Amino acid sequence: MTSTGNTSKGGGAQTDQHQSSDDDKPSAAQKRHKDFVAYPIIREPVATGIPYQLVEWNTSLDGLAMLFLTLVCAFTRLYRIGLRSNVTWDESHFVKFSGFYLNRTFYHDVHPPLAKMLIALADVLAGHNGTFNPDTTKTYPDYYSYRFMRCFTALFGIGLAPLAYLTCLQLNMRRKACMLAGLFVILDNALCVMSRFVLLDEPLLFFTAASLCSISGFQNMRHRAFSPAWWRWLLLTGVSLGLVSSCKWVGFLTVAMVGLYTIEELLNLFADFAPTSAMLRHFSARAVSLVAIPLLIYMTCFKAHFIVLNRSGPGDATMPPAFQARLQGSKLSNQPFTVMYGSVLDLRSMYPGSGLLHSHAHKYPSGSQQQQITCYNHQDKNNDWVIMRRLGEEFNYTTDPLLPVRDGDIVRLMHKQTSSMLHSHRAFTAPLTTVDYEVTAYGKSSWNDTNNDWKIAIHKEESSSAAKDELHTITTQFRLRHVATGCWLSAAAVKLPSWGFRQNEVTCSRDQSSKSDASLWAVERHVNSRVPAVDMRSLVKTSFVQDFVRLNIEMARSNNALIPDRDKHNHLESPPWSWPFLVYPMRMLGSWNKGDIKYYEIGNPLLWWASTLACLLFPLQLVYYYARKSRGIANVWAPREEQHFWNAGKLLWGGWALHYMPFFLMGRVTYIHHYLPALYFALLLLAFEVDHFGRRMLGGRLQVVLVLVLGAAATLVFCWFAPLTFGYTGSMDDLKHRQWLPTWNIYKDKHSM
Amino acid sequence: MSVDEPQLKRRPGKDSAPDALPSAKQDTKPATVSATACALVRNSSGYAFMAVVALSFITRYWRIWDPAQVVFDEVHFGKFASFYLRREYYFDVHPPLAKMLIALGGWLVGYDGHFLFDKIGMDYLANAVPYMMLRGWVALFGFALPPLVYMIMAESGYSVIASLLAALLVTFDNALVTQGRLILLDNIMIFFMLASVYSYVKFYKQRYRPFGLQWWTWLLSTGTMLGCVVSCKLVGLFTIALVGAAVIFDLRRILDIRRGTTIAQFNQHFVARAFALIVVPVALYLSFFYIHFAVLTRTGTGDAYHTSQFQMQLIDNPMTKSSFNVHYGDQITLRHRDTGAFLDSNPARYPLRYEDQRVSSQGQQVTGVKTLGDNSYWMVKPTKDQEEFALFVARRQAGEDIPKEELSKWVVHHTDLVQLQHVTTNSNLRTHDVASPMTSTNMEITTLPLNDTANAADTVWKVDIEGAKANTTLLKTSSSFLRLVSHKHGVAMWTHAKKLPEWGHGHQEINGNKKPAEKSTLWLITEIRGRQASAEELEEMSKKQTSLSFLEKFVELQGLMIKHNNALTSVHPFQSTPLSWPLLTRGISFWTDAAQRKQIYLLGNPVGWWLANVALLFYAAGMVVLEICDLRNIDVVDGVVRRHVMRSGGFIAFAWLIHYFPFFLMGRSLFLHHYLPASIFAYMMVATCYQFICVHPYQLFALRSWSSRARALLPSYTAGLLFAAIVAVQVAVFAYFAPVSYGTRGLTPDEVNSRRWLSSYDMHFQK
Repeated sequence: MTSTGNTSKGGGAQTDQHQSSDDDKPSAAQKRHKDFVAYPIIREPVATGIPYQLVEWNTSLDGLAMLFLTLVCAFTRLYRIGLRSNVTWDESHFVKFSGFYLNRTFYHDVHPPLAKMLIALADVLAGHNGTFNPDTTKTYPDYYSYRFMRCFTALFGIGLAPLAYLTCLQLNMRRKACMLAGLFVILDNALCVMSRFVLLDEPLLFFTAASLCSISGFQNMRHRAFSPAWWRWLLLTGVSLGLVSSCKWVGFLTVAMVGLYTIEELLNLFADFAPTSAMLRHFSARAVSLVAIPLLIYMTCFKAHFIVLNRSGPGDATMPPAFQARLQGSKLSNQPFTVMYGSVLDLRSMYPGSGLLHSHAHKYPSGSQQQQITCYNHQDKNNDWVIMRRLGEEFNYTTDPLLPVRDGDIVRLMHKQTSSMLHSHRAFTAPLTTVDYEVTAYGKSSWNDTNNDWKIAIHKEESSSAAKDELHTITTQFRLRHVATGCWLSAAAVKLPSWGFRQNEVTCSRDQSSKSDASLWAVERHVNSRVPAVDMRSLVKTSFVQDFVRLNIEMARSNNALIPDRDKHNHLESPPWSWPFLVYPMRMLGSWNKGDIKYYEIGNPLLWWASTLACLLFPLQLVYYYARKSRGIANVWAPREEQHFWNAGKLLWGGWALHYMPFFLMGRVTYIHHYLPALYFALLLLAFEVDHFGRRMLGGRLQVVLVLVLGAAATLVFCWFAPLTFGYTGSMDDLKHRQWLPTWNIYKDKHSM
Repeated sequence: MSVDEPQLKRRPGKDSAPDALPSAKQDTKPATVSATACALVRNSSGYAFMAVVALSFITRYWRIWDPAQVVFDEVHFGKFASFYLRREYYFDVHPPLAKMLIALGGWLVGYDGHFLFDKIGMDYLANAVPYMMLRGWVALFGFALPPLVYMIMAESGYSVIASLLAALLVTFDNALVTQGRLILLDNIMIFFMLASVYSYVKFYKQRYRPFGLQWWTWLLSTGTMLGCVVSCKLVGLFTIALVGAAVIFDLRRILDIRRGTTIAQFNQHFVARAFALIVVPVALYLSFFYIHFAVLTRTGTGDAYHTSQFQMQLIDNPMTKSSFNVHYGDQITLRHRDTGAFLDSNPARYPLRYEDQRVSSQGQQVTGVKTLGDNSYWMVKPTKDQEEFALFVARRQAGEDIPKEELSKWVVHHTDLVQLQHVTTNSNLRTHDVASPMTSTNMEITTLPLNDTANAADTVWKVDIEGAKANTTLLKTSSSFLRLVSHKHGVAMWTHAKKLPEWGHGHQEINGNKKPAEKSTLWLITEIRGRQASAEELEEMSKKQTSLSFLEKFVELQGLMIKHNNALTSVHPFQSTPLSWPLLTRGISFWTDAAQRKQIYLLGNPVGWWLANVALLFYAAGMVVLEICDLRNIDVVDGVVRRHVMRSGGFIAFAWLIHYFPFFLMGRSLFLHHYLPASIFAYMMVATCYQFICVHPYQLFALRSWSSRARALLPSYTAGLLFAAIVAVQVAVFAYFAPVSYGTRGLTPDEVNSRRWLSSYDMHFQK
């Protein structure tokens, strides 16, 4: 540890000289704004060429420290990992998804595929065959080695501790503080308990930590632009960003953090009169590494996802019919091709999230009060429509020769289940989109009502071999124009209230220039016993980019649909404001009796509250140091330490804020473990503040004492709550002293008064 | 923010076109320029101001008596004014100042508040409402907006022509006019908002004469106006944030040691601002509520939102009027506080199997009904002293007059354990561990026959009176809210607005909530069968009127306002998203008259709003360019211009931002008129950009205040043409949309459709 101090002093002396020569000629910007106080933090001239490093990497010392942290972390993450042989918490989802990969059946989920594919990889390594379905059995069967699965994902959690150490070292914290940061990560009960199950959080946290580590390494190399080490850290950053955003979309917040850092760096370069060619090189190196590479990784994950999942499965309906038809075993892949009069059709709106044209024996509560027409996203008999000729054009659908439906034909659509006709009228406006006309199911096929007539307008034929003016299954996109009013049948994924069963509104859009996807339709399923079925897979084509974009839109839609249901009285959700204060920890299983193996998602209260304090303190420190500077009070800091304070603090505090604040804007349900990425930053910031205050206020001995006291206190608190982290089987009454806040439900729920 | 000491320093090279500055040469060519023209130029600011006043008056007051019917939210705000005049308590999510001002107008003209503005389209003349005076009074505030805009711009160092531009754009904005001549809150709020901004600008201009009389005057005026704006609508908090940000900017400047301020001086500055801008507004806010409570002393429509203690301090409130102690053996009715449903039971049974295949107990249905019937009476029974109780009931049924002392033995207290016997079916209210029909997480509530003793523990309920601390607190009808918590299971009887399907006759579902402490588990005993107050009881009760301190009342009301504001989520057909506001994609239908095909449709001046968007984008782009140039030390604009456009422009841009962006974070239903405060700043931004582009040299044209003499008027003919073009288009578009803004003239379908510039403008009478 003494070597640390020496290095710091040596480095300081070196830079001190350089600094003073800089100070003699104030920068151009300072000269210009006479009334403007210098920026709170010195804008550092890039060209000094002298790397500033308080603490240098020492292979034997730091290697040993990281090894030690890894081993301790491994113990906390793996100790009694197989205790509960039941499917625990969200394992039910992720084990199931992993099974889909093994079975290669297509499914839909709100998260990008990488982390789930990693779990599937663990399944493959363990030799599982995908027959275990957590939906039916809650206990892991003998042939399923859940211990291996949990250990595999725990590896990511174990990696967090050495990464924290390395990151802090790169951020020029002294080894005492780096060690402390590693310990904080190990000793947080929430990070620990979430690392012990088959969940997505571990890979996500690991890659977030890796991004922070590599961007801090990159920052240290900023005076050696384009050196191999510079490139190494830059590329590593790009790769980590790609991986973290392929695990969960929360990863985009990490991308935002790196993006803001990069913008600041580029602006500084620009302000320091870097030549244009250098600017271009800097810019393009970052564009390739931090935009192109992550995007490529993100898309590659989806490509792999599509390649592996090539069989029809539960997620089919979220994708367009052309995609579905190409999945093995899909009902859509073998259908009659050319649509004939009398065919039974399922029509899908091309608008993402709309669904299939649907009707049912319920009426609109207002307007004409005729039968509802909606868009519904699931296969159902009520999606079947018979395509008929207009009244007056006599046609026998069973005996007359087959007649294809052509572009420009005027047709009628009959709802098969209720035998009523697709109808629209000028007299009533649609229930929600009041600028449009209402669409209803009304009347019988024999009634003479021109409001039932619709004109086919073919928009696009995707199959090159098919006739362009005929209606075909899946490959033809077309519009339906209401003959009497000239409006277009549209579905723009607007959710109806409960009277419409939260299905989507269907309207007749009066917008004459309607070119949007909302009025585009395709035939998804086609039944006609008189027409031979053909293999659709050779006729449809999809492009990867289209599928990729579509799947991402659908993910966003399902994500937004995860809104809190007030009626459900869920004890698990917690509002974002409560997280830093650890107000509502969460029971990870419903049954809380003696004998059950109970896990409780609670953080280490000491660390959570202290790290929150550090996060609140940092902006105040900035203001305080700024005010001191304004008053011309000379800084008594070591040379460049001010720069260091900003460089490390902005990444850690900014990372915390960026991984936390956006949750206030999200409408979806939020859980306490959404705070874990932000917590990682907060824990490192806590170590950073300890380091900062230690350096500024305490002597060498006292610093050691402070670190030891903090470490010991955190360990004690960790152990105090450890029963709930490692699995507790006794009666909760014995743990009632662990209920520190009345809002916690360790011991008793708010159940009784 | 302003150019305080304009120096007539011309930029070299820019003076090569002297023809472009005709007025600038007035001093050197006295012979050719007539004296009248000189005077005109010198007094131009005054003439411009008067023109704005006149035009504003005409646009706001033109046929203000039309339509003589209730329009849109006059339903609310007219009604509230009536309540003030009747002194009846009401509840609303907005603070009281603006509504009290409306009422003040009514009071001044002698209106007694007899009309309740129940529905849009109700006739004022038939109901003898002095609506014209009310509207004219509120329109005073709307009328003041354009002159205030002119004053702000002029004080901020803009030229006559730029200030006039901003003021005229605001004068001829359809939305501000529509909103500005009806009995609505927004004008009053916007008036105080602009007055705050004006005061702050005046205050900031005194920064080199700190702690002088003027400095204090304008500082206190800023604080007063901020207090008023936040007392009109909570949106006023955005204005406070705007001034707060400007103050921080200013304090940062004062703190700089190069200014030569000592820490003591800085502290003085800080304390003075904290007092004027925090203490004064808070004190005003509280005092308006004080007046609010002082005026509204009688019971009214707002009672039901409040706790019983609050309600009982209102004159003539029904709670003290019919508040009796509940005794064992009484047959009571229980009403749910939030949904107003009565606890009811009928002989029908829960179906064995629900639609989702879950199984029920097939017990007798216990449901919530909206109208009181025979099935809604329940007898309260004690769980101990059964024999004595049976005797007591028998004596009462026999009509025996029981002495008071004995009666008092049978009163129901807080935390008593009771049973509730359904009177018509003679069975006890029961909950047990069976999932409720529609809310599977909650426990089913049913009844248990009297002879079933095995499960009797299910029928014991604990009476939990809200707010009661000691178990000596008595249960009273109409005044104490209570929870019924199952003694065995710990769940509280609860209901919600969900209707049971056909088997439940469409009644409300009632079940046991596992979170008994929730506010939604509160019930009220509304009636004891056969119990009526005797004359002496009535007299005694009227003496019992409680009193609450002002702060208690304030805290309770404030909490309710915030809660209900956030709960304003019900879907309104004309609500819109913040993103659509600046684009003006849709208006709001305020009022229609089908017979004469008239309508009032709230819509901004589309050209003006879109122009303002362009100006905002131009300013944002300009700032980015200036900042980037700054990084490289490139001078693109003159120092004074740069400073003005950055500070004054930045202030306006921030004002727009802070009055607009927070709406994106709000969960409540939002309307186009929420953008009106921001739209005024957007119009000011048009003038800022106009000034930046057209007015050179800057210093020659800058006004020092709205009443100061102008040294020059028109920078160039192109500038004049641009001004004329913008104003002409604004006026033309305003006039074109005037029929739907004023609602004074019916339109044919063709005329309506030609005004539908976007297909989403859903005006009425399109066919």
